[in-house]
Amino acid sequence: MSINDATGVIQHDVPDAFENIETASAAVQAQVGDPAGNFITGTASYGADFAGIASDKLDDFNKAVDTYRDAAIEILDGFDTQKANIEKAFKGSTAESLQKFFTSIKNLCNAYVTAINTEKAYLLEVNQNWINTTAQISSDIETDAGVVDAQKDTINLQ
Amino acid sequence: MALDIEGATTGYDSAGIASLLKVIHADVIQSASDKLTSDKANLDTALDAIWQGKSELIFKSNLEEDVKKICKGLEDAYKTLESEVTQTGQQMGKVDENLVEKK
Repeated sequence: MSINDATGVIQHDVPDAFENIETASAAVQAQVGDPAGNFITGTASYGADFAGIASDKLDDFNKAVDTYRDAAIEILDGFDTQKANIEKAFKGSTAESLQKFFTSIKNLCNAYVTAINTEKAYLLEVNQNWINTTAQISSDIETDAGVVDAQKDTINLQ
Repeated sequence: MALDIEGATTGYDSAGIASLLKVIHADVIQSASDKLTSDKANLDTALDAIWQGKSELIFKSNLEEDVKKICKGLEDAYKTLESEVTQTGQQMGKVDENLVEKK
């Protein structure tokens, strides 16, 4: 809307813009439970709690994934015991086949353990990026809210 | 020279090998696959308690795909073993058939 329009139209536009920002921030607050004032002033206390891993839960996350990875290592170690028991019954070319078989499945499990470690490291990096990004969003919305507040004050003075 | 052939075999215990292969599939392959699957379910439960969001779902899904690949790889390794061992037995059988010339 042009600034040369009737005052009523201009007053209608600015509150809409302000309402959109308020609605957006309210939606975020509803998810993280921050009081309205804290979020707008950008304390960023929602930090890692918003759709990422809660900062006080990172240890639980590491423990859960490490437990899972260690269970896969147990399977790997179990193969050695099973091979020792089974290979006694194989001779000649069948023994060679059995050797290749256990080599294959051990390589598979080793690759899986590596994959778990890689996924975990990647996820922790992504989570940190999320923390940084959401902190930036908080900062940007605080800036926008400040701008709209200034515009409201300007309109009211007219 | 007296040739003692009592108890001579093809040198390949077909019945024993077949039983062993079943044991290998059950105790090595199936056991590992089942453990991987149940451990993954436990991990999912632990993650759901501490983490929400799209990224969590994708993380769980990525590990799920890895579990499927591993389980398939284990099964394929077993099938290769089974095939090779079976072929060895068949070759042993052919040698046995042709070792003594029929009049």
